[in-house]
Amino acid sequence: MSTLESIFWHVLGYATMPFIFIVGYIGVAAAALWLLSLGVDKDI
Amino acid sequence: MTFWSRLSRPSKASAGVLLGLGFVGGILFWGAFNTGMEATNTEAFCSSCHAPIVAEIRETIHYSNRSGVRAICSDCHVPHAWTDKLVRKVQASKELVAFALGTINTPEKFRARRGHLAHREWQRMKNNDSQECRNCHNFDFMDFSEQGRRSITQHSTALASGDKTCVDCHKGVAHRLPNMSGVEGWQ
Ligand code: HEC
Ligand code: HEC
Ligand code: HEC
Ligand code: HEC
Repeated sequence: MSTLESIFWHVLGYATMPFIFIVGYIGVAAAALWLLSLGVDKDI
Repeated sequence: MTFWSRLSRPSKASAGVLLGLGFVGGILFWGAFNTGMEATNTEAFCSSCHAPIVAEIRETIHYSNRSGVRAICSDCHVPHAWTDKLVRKVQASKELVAFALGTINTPEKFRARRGHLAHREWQRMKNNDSQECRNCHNFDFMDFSEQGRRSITQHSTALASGDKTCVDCHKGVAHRLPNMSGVEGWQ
């Protein structure tokens, strides 16, 4: 693997980490809001 | 109401319930994510595309040996450290593209491309000082009194001094070798 290719994959790989956390946050938030909308937040 | 406006408005639920939802949701998400990471580390997963190689490993010491310890694909090809592992997984998106293009989907194509792929793997292991081998084979605990003479000669010199790393000398420890013409030290 060339140095350039290695840099490319490392940048992409490290950029994936915050992406995973953000996707996780949005996913959990969506699920939680949906659950709340069934109960206490029915009329919001 | 839209997702964002809901997210920015207070809920009627108590702080305890909200924090609990986040806590449980976080655990479930992280569990699912790591289950996915593990599932893509199994030999069954690799064999869905690398069947010829899975067949070859059965004839080697890393499949069956007197100690009954097995090395599977990911033991040698996927780093253990979480960050390195993720980088390697992301890099494997290239393998998905290559799979779609069919770069190694026939025995002939695989034979032609094998040398190139093996060189990439040797280079990767040279760069990380054969970290994956060392996860199981630790130089510090090698008992020279138990090794053969040829092994001691090489291990106590080039390996001990750091001049050479495992894959410089040990190639084809789990697969048949590719065409070795032009590889340093092989005729
Ligand atoms: C979707 C099919 C697919 C799966 C699943 C897959 N691979 Fe691959 N892999 C490929 C293809 C296609 C190539 C050839 C890439 C090329 O031609 O450049 C490849 C190449 C490789 C290489 C060569 C080195 C390199 O840098 O390209 C290694 C090592 C490898 N795979 C290991 C694995 C392991 C270990 C697994 C299981 C964790 C796995 N692969 C799962 C399709 C796959
Ligand atoms: C999952 C752990 C594991 C990993 C990773 C691993 N090995 Fe092994 N290796 C073993 C075991 C277990 C044996 C057999 C030990 C025995 O019973 O003698 C072995 C045997 C060997 C032998 C001895 C062959 C013989 O004929 O006596 C060599 C050489 C070797 N490994 C090199 C490597 C290299 C090079 C790597 C990295 C590419 C590697 N191993 C990665 C577990 C591993
Ligand atoms: C300078 C070359 C060289 C390097 C570097 C090297 N080896 Fe070896 N190794 C050999 C030779 C030569 C043998 C003997 C092979 C034989 O006699 O068939 C051997 C034998 C072995 C054996 C079998 C030991 C025995 O005598 O039963 C194991 C296991 C092994 N090597 C693992 C490793 C691991 C793991 C690394 C990296 C940490 C490594 N080697 C680095 C050259 C090397
Ligand atoms: C003991 C360590 C070890 C194990 C286990 C292992 N490999 Fe490898 N693999 C290597 C090494 C080292 C190379 C570099 C070429 C060589 O020396 O044979 C390699 C090369 C490859 C290549 C590049 C093409 C080639 O043939 O050289 C592919 C693809 C591959 N491995 C896939 C796999 C798959 C799939 C598995 C699981 C069935 C697996 N490997 C198990 C060490 C291992």
